[in-house]
Amino acid sequence: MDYVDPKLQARRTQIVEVLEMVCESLELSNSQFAQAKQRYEGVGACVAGSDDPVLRTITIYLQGSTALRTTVRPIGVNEHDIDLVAHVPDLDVEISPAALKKAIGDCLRANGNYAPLLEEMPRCWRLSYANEFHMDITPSIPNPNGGFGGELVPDKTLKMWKASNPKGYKQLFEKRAKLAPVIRIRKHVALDSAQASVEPYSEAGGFKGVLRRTVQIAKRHRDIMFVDEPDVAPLSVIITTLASRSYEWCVTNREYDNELELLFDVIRHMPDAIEIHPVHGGVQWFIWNETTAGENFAEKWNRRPERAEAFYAWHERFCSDLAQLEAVSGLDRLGEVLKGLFGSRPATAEINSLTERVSAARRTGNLRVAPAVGLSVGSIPSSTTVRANTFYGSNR
Amino acid sequence: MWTGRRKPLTKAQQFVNLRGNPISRGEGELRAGRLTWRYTATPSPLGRDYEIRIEFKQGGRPQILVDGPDLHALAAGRRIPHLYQQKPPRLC
Repeated sequence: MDYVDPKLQARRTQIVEVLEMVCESLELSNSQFAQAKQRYEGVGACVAGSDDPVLRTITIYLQGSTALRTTVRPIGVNEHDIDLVAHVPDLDVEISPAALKKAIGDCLRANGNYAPLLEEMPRCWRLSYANEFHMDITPSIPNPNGGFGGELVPDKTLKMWKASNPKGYKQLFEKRAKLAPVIRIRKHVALDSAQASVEPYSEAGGFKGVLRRTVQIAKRHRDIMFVDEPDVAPLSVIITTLASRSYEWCVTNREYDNELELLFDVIRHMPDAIEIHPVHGGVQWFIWNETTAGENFAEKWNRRPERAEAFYAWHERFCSDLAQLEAVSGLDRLGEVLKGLFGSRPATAEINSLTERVSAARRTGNLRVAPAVGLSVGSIPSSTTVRANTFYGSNR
Repeated sequence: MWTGRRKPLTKAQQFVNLRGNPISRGEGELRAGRLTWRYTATPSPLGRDYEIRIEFKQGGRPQILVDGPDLHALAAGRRIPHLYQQKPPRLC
């Protein structure tokens, strides 16, 4: 029978709980999500109801991190970014990207509710709801040569249409996120006591989905690391693509003792899907969009190699910061590591919440003490309930 | 002090109990009139390991002291609650 240090196993379980809670605090809540849906459906109804015949069949739907449920609140602002596609299925490339964008903008500007919130961006329109969201609305038409059922969206100059496939990308991501990892259930037997066994236990449960949490943790670490140089920060679509490909490889090829081990392995293997080809004494990087022919998410790296360097520097730091999570002991030290990973506000909130959960469990008789593991909330075999504090002695 | 129906345990009985309990796995000495027990405890899986010393004299109250790490250094000037004695830290 394999021996696993019960304290290490319990640490990993608790670290997963900590990461899960930090992600929950950073993502769009269910009520925010419902509110966003209500808002963009309102926008859709407004645009579709306009007098402009071009917009008659328009539909608005989510793309990007909100569609994938991998949102992370941007640093220093209260508003989440929500990316929307305004798709007109009965248009063809005869219409220019600029003309379709203008038609959508004219319609929103004519509406008294949307006009004060409207802001023009290079390829899209933004509706800014203070303290709620920035909604970016990108025009799109069907791609006649897609083959994948893809769409066309404006290029950076707004002169040409370029291929994109937000729906296909989402389907592939969701298919991968649904792949269930094999987590080995081992009988953990401590060397010093036949009874001191610790099975994975949890009050809050494990990750809601390892792939989504991996993407969120990675994006947040990227935001923290590149707060002063956002120009070279690895793109969210690159992080998401590499994480989802790595996740698929890890769960189909390997087995894990716990979800934390899987999370670390997925992150470690992220660069594996980057293709590197030697060209004229240098190299070129390719991260293919598997749902759109010919789209290389690393295209900018080939013009600005410092972006590639920034990605690899970030990846190395991310791996070492995560390893620290497992290595430190002491809630104060853990708090410092969490600050480096997620910023001081979520880190402090999480450490306070951990302390409060222990106090609450002690009051209600759910706090247990187990050999070598220490205090834990929830059920552990062979543990003893901790009695409520009487607080004798000095409490000042 | 030791009220109730049960007769207080002798220091030898306490010593045997400490030695047999997986929660306080450690080592100690039983000398004339005095019991000392040392073990390592952790408040939670994410917490530090603390060196704990129990001193017990027959007829007296057990004293539970933290030998390391230095709680006052960790507290960085804050007063530590729930102690009978601040230095060395004696736990309630």
